[in-house]
Amino acid sequence: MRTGSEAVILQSVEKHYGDEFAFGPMELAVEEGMVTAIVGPNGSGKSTMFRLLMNLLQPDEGEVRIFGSTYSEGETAIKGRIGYVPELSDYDMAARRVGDIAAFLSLWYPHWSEAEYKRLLDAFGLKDSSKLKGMSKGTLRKVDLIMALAAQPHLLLLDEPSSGLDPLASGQLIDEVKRFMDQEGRTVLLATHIQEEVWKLADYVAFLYEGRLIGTYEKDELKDGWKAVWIERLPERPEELPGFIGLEGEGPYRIATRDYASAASRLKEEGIRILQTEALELNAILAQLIRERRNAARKS
Amino acid sequence: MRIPIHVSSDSAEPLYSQIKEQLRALILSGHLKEGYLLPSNREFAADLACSVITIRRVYQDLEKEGLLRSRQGTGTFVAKVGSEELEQYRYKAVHDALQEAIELAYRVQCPPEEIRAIVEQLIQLLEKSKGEPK
Repeated sequence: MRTGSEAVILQSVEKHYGDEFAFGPMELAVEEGMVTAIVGPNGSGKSTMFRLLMNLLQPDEGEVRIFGSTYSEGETAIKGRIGYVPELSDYDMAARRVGDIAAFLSLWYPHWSEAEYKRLLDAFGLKDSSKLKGMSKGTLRKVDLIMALAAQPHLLLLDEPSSGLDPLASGQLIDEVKRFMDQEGRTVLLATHIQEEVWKLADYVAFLYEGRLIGTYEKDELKDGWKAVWIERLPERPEELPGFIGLEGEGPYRIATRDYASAASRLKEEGIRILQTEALELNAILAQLIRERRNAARKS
Repeated sequence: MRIPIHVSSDSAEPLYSQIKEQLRALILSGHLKEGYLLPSNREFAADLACSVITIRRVYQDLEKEGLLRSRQGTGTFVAKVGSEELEQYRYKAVHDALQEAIELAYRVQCPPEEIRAIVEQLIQLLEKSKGEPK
């Protein structure tokens, strides 16, 4: 049900690394004005995806479109509208201070805002004169974020942005993304395995596994639909409950389902009262989707 | 600009209904007055950890009900609420709360006479405490 225009489109994109790893074929449309979280285990292809989006890798098959254009139609114009925080900070060490990087990037990005840069420096407790050499991983991460946001991009690509950040800075990161998205026509693609970031920021969640998408959902569909219920007694065939995922306990029993509304009405029909409901963890949802994927692969 | 709405994904109710019901209650009880500017879609979504899609639906539906109005570029405001709606809301709130209590009573096999007696007793108790100075 995507009605807005798309900031990013991957069309039948494939990238092969020998026999080792294949990315895709992937179809993905990222709606403008939305935050889409990419969730997957290590090695599922998140960073490959971001590198394809940044034209740091070129697809073997298919096409990447950003704001409707391909990179062959003009890389500079596209990149001027993207803020990218890569998995690992990668600064040219000719730059010695934070201000050197800013001075360089401000020439590149047409919408670079000096005022925003100063505000962000202040918010993250850094200075123009802060030296890059010897900076901790977390502090470098803050530099990455400041630069990506001060460029006032339309599309923000965040690859595990909070790795290395302390809880306080992680909270700031969430606030900054929220602030960024409060402006008209902004889009975020966020690769993360931190549940809090997904629950607080995302509008859509795309699950990635072995280079493929194994499910794309509206976030609230996950929160409302994927639940565990506690019940006093079991229905006749619990595994036939709608969306059944698993059963534990010996009374009261805990049943996990991916179709809470239908499961609840079935239980009601059988006269079984639900004692308690609870949301499933993001990791439990990911694990289930992977299990379903493996089962489907085994059958075919 | 936070407003006192609390939602939980552990609840049996979908997020959309939790937010809509609580926002409607805040407006109809007069806690949010006419002209009150509500948070932007993104701000509200992040505070409640739900998606902007859900907030947009809540705002649109309450606008259709006449409780909210939106102005292009400025945001979403609380609309003027008629006395008829307030009356209806009051009736429904009391009706639903009593219904829930009575259903619970039936589940624990409490006979109707006893339910009536309890209700009568509670009314008398409240009336009595109203007369006493605090």
